[in-house]
Amino acid sequence: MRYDDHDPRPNDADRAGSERVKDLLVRLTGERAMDRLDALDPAESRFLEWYAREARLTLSVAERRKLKQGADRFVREVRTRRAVQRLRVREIAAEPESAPAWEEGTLSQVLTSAARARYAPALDLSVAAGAGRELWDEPCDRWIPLPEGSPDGRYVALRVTGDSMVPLLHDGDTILVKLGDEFVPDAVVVARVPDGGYVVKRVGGIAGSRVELTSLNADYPPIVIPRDPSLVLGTVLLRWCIHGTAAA
Amino acid sequence: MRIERRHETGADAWTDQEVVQRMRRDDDVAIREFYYRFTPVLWREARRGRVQPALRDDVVNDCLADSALHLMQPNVPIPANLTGYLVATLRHRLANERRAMKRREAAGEAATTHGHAERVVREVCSEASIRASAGPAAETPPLSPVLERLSRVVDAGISAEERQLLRWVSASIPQRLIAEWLGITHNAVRVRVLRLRDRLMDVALRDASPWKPGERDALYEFFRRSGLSERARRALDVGRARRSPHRRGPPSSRPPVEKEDQ
Repeated sequence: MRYDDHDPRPNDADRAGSERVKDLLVRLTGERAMDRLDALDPAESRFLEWYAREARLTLSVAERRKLKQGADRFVREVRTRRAVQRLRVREIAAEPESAPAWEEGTLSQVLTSAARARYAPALDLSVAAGAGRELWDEPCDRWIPLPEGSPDGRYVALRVTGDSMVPLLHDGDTILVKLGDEFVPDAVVVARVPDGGYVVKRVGGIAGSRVELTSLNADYPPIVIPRDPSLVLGTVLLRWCIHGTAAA
Repeated sequence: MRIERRHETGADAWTDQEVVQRMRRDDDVAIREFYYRFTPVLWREARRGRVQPALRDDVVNDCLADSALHLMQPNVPIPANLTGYLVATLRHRLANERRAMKRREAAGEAATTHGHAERVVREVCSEASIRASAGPAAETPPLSPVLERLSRVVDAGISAEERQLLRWVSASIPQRLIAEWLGITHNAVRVRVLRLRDRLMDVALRDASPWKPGERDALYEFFRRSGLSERARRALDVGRARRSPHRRGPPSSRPPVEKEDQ
């Protein structure tokens, strides 16, 4: 006999009992063995391929439906985040540290001294969103130190509002803008729309004397402005975002 | 229907590496195929990892989308075993999430211990109320501490090869396929599986020393309910007094009643 029961001749019930216990032990210990699986071990690749195929083939009707519904959403999400990834705007997942301005004055007055001290004067972009307001004339009382690795130049830090650039920028994020007057395709720029104030957009296309500025949020239509360097404030190099990772 | 389109485009015949290569060229069909191919296995892993059903889709989707974006970068090498890579990624995320949750719980505990906030003492709550307060996460109740420990003891007593075979057997892989993977005959696999099952039983009942008396009783109950009583009783050295009242038999088999000293 295999098991040392008191009766030297185990009956069917005894055998069934011990087989049942073995089944339970296989299930019980099998789960732990799965937990201890080293998924990156090449020796397990055949098993994992089989495991993945089995998972696909044994989906319930409801899971199949959910899979179908989720596919389009997944493709959209990956494409949008891929577009964000290509924009090459660095992210710092925190609020920027700011300090009281060393000098009082409007943006145009403090810009040079802030750049010399490697600071960016901070402003709220919404104050200059309306037509007729010039960013340069806004007083700024806070400066933000330039993050390490920022190339030399003149910068301004702007707090953005709205959701037209989601998932790159969220309402309340702060962006670091390197001042300059170039329209480069695929760059994210802060531009002044004639009679429309300042906007943050991606340069979608440049054709002759016109520039198309696009939003990342498909709900917002593109804006076409003249190809006039004086309409460009600068290029967005970095964002301080506390809304989770927008791009991997 | 998208599933049918997989066959039309031939996407289901692509290797995992081809799928990633095409994704790098921004091919929507490949991105969709990536999702179809790996979502079910990650769902299964998330279920095994006891992720709440309400959060499962988001956890799997985030993991898959982050991995897709990482793999789509041209300078990133494509893993030879993509399923293993994604399973390992999800497991790391779940482990990190569990660690973070423990830290949050510890912080909450510290905050309430020294403050005046009302505390819930887990030990005085019924299992049903704990399960109800855990929400949908409690759909699969966790193993009892004794069975959890039993699985640990058995796992520690088997070799790496036995563990691998156990993994395959518990995943219900056909024995013919196992024979093909191991390069042995089907009959040899059958023998190995039988030996493995015997070995699990032997390891489980080999040594009663790690078990405290209360745990031995619980374990004995587990074996007894499953149909194995005599061997389990002897192996675990459970007192006869415990089982005798439930058994019918001659009076001599009953435990002697100890009389109190006058």
